[in-house]
Amino acid sequence: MIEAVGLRKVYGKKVAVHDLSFTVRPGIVTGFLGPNGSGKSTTMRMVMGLDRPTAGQVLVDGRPFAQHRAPLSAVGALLDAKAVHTGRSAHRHLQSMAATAGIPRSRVDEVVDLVGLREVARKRAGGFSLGMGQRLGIASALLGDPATVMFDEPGNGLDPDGILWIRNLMKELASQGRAVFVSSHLMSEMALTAEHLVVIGKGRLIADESVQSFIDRVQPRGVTVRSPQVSQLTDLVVDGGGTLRPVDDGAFEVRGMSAVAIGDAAAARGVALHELTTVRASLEEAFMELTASAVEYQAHGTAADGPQPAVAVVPDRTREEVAR
Amino acid sequence: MSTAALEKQQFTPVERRVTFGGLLRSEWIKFWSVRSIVVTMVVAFVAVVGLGVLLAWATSSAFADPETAREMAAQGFDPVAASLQGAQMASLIVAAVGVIVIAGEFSTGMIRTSFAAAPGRLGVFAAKAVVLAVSVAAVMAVAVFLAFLLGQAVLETKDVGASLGDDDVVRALLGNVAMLTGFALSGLAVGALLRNSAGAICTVLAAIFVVPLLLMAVPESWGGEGIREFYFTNTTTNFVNVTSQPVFLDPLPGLAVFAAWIAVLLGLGALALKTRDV
Repeated sequence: MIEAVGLRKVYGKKVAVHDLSFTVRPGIVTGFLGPNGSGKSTTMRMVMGLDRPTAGQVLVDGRPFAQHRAPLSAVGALLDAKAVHTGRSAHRHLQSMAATAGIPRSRVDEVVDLVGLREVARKRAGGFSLGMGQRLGIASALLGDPATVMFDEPGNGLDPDGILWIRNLMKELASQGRAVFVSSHLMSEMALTAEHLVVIGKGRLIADESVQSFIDRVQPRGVTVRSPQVSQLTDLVVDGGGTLRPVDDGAFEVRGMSAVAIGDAAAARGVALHELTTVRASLEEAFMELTASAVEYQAHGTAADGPQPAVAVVPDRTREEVAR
Repeated sequence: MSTAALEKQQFTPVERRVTFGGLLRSEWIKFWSVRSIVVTMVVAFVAVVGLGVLLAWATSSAFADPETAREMAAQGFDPVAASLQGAQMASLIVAAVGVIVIAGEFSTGMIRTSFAAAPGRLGVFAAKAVVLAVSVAAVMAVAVFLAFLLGQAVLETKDVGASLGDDDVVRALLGNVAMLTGFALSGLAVGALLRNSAGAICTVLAAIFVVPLLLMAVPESWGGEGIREFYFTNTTTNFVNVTSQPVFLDPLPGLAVFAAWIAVLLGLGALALKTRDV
């Protein structure tokens, strides 16, 4: 379990993390989302006590990580694949870690097998591919059989098989009652893995909620409607206060009216509908939308003195255009 | 969702505590499993023994000429020093080992793994210092005694060799081991301060070989004599040799001041490790 309270990190004049508060609970996978450079890695380093917060604090199971007497059993972290001496073999690397806390050698072999590095475990880690380095980092994280695991962009350099493997691994670790905290800049990946999301942009908290409520925050984009009676449909929508524009192969996107309203109106007027679908922004789009505003805010100083974010407006087609 | 999550069984780990003994084992594994460190240790060994024997042989051949031999005897020829020339060269090499032990972890990112496993940090640094000191002292002790024995065997062919039983010989040999161990630790300290291998090695190189020469130019009115006497590397001069130079500290005070320098450097290194982000 990780609890961050008012966490802040300033490098020189740059505020990397800005008053961040969130909780990573046991038993679920918590996704840590943000664009590159949004402060995810800095936050994770502060959890591990590697970077000292400028203000605020972060506790692991109720205590700062540095005060844990059994750190490897408290948190296992994959911070970046390069936290390994390139001149040392994977096996020796893990052995040296295990030795600090008297973890038996059998556990080293266990995690080596678990991540599938048995054949290369005696080779120098410097020769490892990014994916192999990532697997070694995961082995290091799991070595102490910890209550909390923290992975920074674990999918980096992994092939599709590897990504599927780590996704299942994280779910399994969570199902064992561990707190799992995993960062990514890919929303789609998190949608498949995480139950809860902590979203940051430019070091600020944007969302700390379940994946479902994050999705629900996204307003419906519109309704896709198909009908052989185009002009009746157009009248119906305009009368209902909506707008429509043709999309691919004869379908129309309606805005300003719900699917329910369109369906009811169509039934009342005897208009045949072949499709009626509410379109939501994808999670990816929602994420981009939310983080983009945070990026914008930071890039222009305060909203008052900076230029307003440019919004691309695609004008909806008028009734006349559609009728033609 | 959150209530459901809280109701789930929380995982209880087996508490595996960090111990200093564990950190020592860990650092021992790390020290001897990196090729660059092992190679540098071998180079230091070869430097002490090889250069010692080579220079002893070069000196002994000078004794073939009776006139040169008389001249050297008149100047107070020191057979012990003649066989230990390599130790001066090895000073920088073992200091480099000390630098690599810590700076190598910073350059590769390994330091984050080390500190994640032992977030108190000072335990890691202390264990590194102990493992480095023990390893360097053990290997250099063998090298120094071997260089002495082989060097004296060469010099003895000209009847100018010394033996282990002679006055102050064992003290001088142990003094060399202490000097080499101290330089290795100073490398560790500077490495912890600078975090960069090249920068740290250059700094130590300057401290050992350049600064003493610069200090020669400090005039007496500026306290040159005292500065030279108490300067880091100069304090070793009399405890590594059988013969004493009066301008430097006597062996025991010299060793004490040298140890104080190392302690201060290690203290600064520990402070930097403890307080700076990694």
